[in-house]
Amino acid sequence: MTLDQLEPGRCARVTCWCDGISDRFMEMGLLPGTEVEVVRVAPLGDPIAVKVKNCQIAIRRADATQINIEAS
Amino acid sequence: MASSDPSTPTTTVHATKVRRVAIAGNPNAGKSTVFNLLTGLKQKVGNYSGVTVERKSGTLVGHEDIEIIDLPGTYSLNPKSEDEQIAYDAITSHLPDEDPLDLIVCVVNATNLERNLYLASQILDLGLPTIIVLNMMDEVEAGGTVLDIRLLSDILGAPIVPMVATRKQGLEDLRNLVKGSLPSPGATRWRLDEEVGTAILGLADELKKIDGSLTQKRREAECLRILNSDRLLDYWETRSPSFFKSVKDAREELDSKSVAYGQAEVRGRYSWLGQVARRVTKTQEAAEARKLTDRLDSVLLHRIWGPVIFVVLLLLVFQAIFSWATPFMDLIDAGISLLAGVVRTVLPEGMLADLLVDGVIAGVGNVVIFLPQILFLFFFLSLMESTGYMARSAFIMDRVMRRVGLSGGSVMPMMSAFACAVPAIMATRTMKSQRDRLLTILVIPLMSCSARLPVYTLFIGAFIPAATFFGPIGYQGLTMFSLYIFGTVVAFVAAAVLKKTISGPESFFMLELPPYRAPQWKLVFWRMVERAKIFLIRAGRIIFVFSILLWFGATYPKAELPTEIQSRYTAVETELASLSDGNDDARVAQLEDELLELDNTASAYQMEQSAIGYLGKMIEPVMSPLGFDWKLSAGIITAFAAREVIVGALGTIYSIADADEESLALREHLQNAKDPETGRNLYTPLVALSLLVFFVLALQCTSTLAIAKRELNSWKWPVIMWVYMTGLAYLASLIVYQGGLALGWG
Repeated sequence: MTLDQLEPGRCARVTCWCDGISDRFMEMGLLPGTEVEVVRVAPLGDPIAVKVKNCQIAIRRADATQINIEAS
Repeated sequence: MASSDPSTPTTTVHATKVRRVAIAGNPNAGKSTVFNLLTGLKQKVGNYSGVTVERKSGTLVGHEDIEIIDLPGTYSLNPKSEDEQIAYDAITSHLPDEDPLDLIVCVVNATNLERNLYLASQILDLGLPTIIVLNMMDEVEAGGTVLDIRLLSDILGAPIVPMVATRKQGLEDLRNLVKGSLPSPGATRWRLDEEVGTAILGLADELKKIDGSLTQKRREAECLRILNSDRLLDYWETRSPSFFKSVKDAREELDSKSVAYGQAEVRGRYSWLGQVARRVTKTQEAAEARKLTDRLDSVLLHRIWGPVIFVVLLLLVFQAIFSWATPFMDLIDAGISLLAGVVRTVLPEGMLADLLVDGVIAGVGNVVIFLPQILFLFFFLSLMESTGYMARSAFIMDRVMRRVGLSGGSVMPMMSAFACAVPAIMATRTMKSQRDRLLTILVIPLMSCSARLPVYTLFIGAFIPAATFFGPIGYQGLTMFSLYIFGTVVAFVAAAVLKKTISGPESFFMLELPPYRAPQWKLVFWRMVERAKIFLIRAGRIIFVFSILLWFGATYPKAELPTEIQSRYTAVETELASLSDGNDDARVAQLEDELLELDNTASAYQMEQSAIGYLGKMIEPVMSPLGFDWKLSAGIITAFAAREVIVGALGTIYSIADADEESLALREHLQNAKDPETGRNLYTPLVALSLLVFFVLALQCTSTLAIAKRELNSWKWPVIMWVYMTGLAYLASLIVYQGGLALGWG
């Protein structure tokens, strides 16, 4: 499962990363082992707001498909 | 220098030495507020040499010898953009034009300790004297969390100042630390993956051969930075090819052992920081601010209400710059006229008075007139930034804007361009990606600004029938609306096309949605003043020079009036002089009218003989395929200083005093102007349409060029902007006019 498939309000744990995604997302704390929650989706369906390390960040769906998760 | 001369007491060296303190931190950590508190009102805003990144500096209040520099906000020392690169270079003293730093103040958002300490610990690893500011302690406490600050200070090996910057809490402690003795940095204790650690040690030895002055700790830290970042490695390709190759080799070796060295630092650092955060935090609950934010977001980012509220706010801002600013602009206009009148009465008639009034004062007026719009726009933009709404607007609009190659951050600047491109271009500063920002600036002038309005009004009023066809909607309104839509659509298309031609790293989108906060009025006020200052000083100079040049073009060479006009002048003046006061009022009034008409004829004649009139005739062959004669061409030339100037210029050409876009006399003149050879109407609705299309697309505004030059730090892009827009305008007008003729609309 990838991060873009997670429903709003649900939590999950990051498992691994695909190549070719900016390491900035990792520096923001989205690294393997971290809890993430999809807080909400933008009115037009993209981007999505995720909560990680007590902070909300908006990322595009295209990037979210590169982040693998397992629901917790 | 002092050090080579033992007789010079060393104290003088200390007395003149300026301590350089840089403020670093994540975006949204309160860096600007801390900077404003430390420096007070004395701030200098400029650019780092050679780049478009803004450099803000000042001195510590009461201490001229302590310079404070506000670095661009950054999430890590792994730079991804030009401004983050500057932050990195400043901290590591790699900037050629800047002296090395003595002290770093790292502002940390205490409500989000773990992530903010990521940058802080990277800075500490460099071994520079560093003070950590734990900002927003009030929100931490409100959330029921207690932080063990002494323990954190021990772990990090750096002094920590808890602060509530918005309420000046902790300011004195910070001031004392900033001016006190420099702290000696301790060591952070996180572990790198062993293989990567070995590679770093090897690279640090290589670096030692190139620069022996750095400490081992600093060398290791910098090698880790270079190993992880292509951007930083590129710099070494020319500086030391052998070191460049060593890093490449180290990367290859790690790759061959399939060691994910890019992730080694993030994993190692975060696993350590996670422990640190747990040790110093007593209780952990979701902060109050966050709960309030969630409630607000459920409305402001609602599927339906979100976009609706966004559009309403946008309209409000638009309305403010469009109409609320008008009374202030009129006031400035009146002030300028008053000043011009005073100068005219004080100075004797002649060239000096003309230069001062029509050149200098009019030139200054062209600059100052934009001030109300700039202040209004930046009031609202700063307010949105200060409260956290700005990030939401980008969140809402990102999908739409991405379609045309822009991003969510372009929305605000592009919409404000409907009022005026100048503040709109200045507003792009909030955009993170340099490429998106450049693209946005390049298409902003295509949005129909308020200066086009007088031109639209004049030509629509003169040539488009006032009839209505559907309720209150008439052809004139429809035309006006179409012009706005046309400009916007072309802007989007241009963005999509330009995106393909502008090289640069593909931007990625990552936006922090900070909690909503009450606006900081002081900060809002200072941003407003800062923007106004930049505009007046930087762009003002260029606009000023262009205005004076234009005045010279319209005034020189001085034309000798034809004898016919001269003799009429003499006749009217003699008769006026012969009539004694109160004798024949009706005749006097008649004569005065005649004199006024003569003045108008004379200035029209002067315009025709002037450099601009001459230029108008010169470019007539080029412009006639668009349907423009020499008079319209001359008007267009004057409009390249500022669009609305054409209305006054056409007034002069058609010898109508004080013409404005509502002037019926000017409209009639335009409608009835005849071709001297064929006797047919010179200006048809088709010519008007062609001219309108030209005005929608052409970049006729020296202020826009001046501000674009200032924001992009080179003349290259303003020139490209001018060429592509004016080319586009010519092409579109050509198609409209020739197409119209072919269809028999002429």
